[in-house]
Amino acid sequence: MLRRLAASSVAFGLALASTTRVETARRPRYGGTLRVEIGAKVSSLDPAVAAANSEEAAAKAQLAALTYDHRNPDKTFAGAGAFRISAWEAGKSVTLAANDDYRSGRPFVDSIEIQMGRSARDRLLDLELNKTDLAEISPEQGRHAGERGVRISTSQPDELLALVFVSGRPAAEDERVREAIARAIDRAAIVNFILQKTGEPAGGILPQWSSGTAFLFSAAPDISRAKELSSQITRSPRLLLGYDFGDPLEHSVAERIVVNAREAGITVTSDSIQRSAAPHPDAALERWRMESQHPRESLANFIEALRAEGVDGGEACEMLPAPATPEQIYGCERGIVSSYRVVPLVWLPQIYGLSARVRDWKAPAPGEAWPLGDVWLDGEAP
Amino acid sequence: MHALVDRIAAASTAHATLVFELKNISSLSAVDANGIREAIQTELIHRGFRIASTPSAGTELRLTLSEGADSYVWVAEWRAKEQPEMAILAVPETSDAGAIGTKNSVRLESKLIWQQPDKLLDFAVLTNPGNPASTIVTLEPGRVNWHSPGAFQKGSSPGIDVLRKKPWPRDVHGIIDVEGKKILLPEMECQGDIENAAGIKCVPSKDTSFLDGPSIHVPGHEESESALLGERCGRLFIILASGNGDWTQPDTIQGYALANLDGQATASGSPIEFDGPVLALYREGKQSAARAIVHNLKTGFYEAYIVTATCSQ
Repeated sequence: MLRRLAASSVAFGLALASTTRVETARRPRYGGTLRVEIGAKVSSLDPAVAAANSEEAAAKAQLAALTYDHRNPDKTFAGAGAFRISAWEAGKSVTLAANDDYRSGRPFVDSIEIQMGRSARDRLLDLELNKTDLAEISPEQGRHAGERGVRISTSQPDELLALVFVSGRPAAEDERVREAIARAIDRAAIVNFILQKTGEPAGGILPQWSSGTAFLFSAAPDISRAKELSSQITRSPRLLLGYDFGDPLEHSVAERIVVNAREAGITVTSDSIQRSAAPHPDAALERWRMESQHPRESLANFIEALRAEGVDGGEACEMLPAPATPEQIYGCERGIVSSYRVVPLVWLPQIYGLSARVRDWKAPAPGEAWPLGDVWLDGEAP
Repeated sequence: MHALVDRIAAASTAHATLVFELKNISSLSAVDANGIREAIQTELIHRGFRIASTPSAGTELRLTLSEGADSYVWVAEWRAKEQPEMAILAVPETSDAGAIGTKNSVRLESKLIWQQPDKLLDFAVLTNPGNPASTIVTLEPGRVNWHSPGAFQKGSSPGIDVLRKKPWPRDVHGIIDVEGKKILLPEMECQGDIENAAGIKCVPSKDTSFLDGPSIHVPGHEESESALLGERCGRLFIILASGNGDWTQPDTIQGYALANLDGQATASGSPIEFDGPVLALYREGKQSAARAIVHNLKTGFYEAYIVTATCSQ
């Protein structure tokens, strides 16, 4: 901005010193209860007790980050955190009270009330009715929520939705089948129509903002090549595509893949699945959230997750050094994608709805906890 | 840059004609990208390559300036002996910034400290031993207020009036200098320990040097608010400067890096945006931070920010 008016600017006005008191000034203030709603149902706060699913595991990690000071290298939690648990009802609610003696300073809010197991629809409704201060919003609802006046906070896209072909399933053993399906998928349509323009088409294993090389992976469909591959397969298999039975986004994406595969001449049916229960799918939709913004660490975590699914990362990943150059990281990603065992689909951001009184909230980066110790509440309690 | 050209040279036919195309998808400015283009072209010519501008005149060499979480990433793609070749390099340092353009190594973050409906000239954050909340001192035309933790909620902030014989100028500026134990206003100076309101004494002063504005400027932003930060980013000095609009427009603060105080300042990192003009920008102590006063045009409030520069070396 221009620094000031010309030196000859005329000074006028009353000479009386201002004595106006600051009635409406705002700065971080202490007190109040932050109301949070999440979809997960946390059944045990004991970090040693395994979570039933990735949603519960993520919620549990957030609670641990609030109530413990730090995490040891062996991944155990230690020390008193910013909050302590004052009330707990397994799977339903937890109340956290501010720790006055927290070594990094007492949190601004006095307490946090977390309601668990709230559906996406109920969370959005409660945000609109000002019945909650902070709630997760599913990516496909983000745009809609913003249009309805909900205050939105969006992270960098840090969660990969991918199609993973299950190792050992005969229907998916022919690489041409996998490649044909991978090339037939219209990722842009998934982003534009199912996700309502939230997220990004994914061609690689890491997002562009992390690796800097995602632009080298094509995310565009190539239906003519998909048809060509399909025509080379003498006995076209029928594949079953599984998706999480409680995830409407995965359901919609699975249906889109079924349509795209059919265009390429491959028959895919989709069905919701529960782990360890029949029917066993030939491919499944998987969500994978980055644990670090650094590409090498994230890729290593992804390879570990792939191994648990019985998918090999390939030679370039086996030899991935630490630290790794962008070229080595790209080589590993290329190796994974080229096997067509894993087909990246879209990158999803984490979306949060906030009430008007929430201040100093910043969407956490991958691996970071919710910054609820820094959040303060402005205005009267509802 | 040399490593990249080495890779291209090793995999290409000697004295080949290259059609060089550069694409910048990083946060580097167009000026920096052009600097990199020129430097690489010069280096390629030095190695015996010919550079053509017509697409069909030679081998296409495409360089993409990209960026990841850890560093800049430069990707060169070309064909050699009918085979596609690729080189990917991390470019993490600013050491040769002058030769190949400047890496955007300064990340800015702003934190709102205070806002009020009345005109605000400057502020200071005083830490209280044993108390996590700080006391905020605010300077208005003719008034200094001390807002101890919680006091603002009751509207009973203590303060002192600074009486001046003449009216305050419309473009009044003022500075709180905690270390120097003084508060400067046009033709007025208050001296004493800033932490103690009762000990402050205000007298007329002829010292108007602070009204001259910052002693260092970014070219093209001579009339902007600017502040030279107390810490360097490696060897580089860091200047923060506001935009060039007037007081009716949203504004930005941009970080600039320069190797020496007489040298050329180059934009570094992304600017941060504000909903109104930046009215004042002052260095905050000896740190990589500055105090910014913003007039928020949406709310009408005057806002006090601490803007922190992080050096991503």
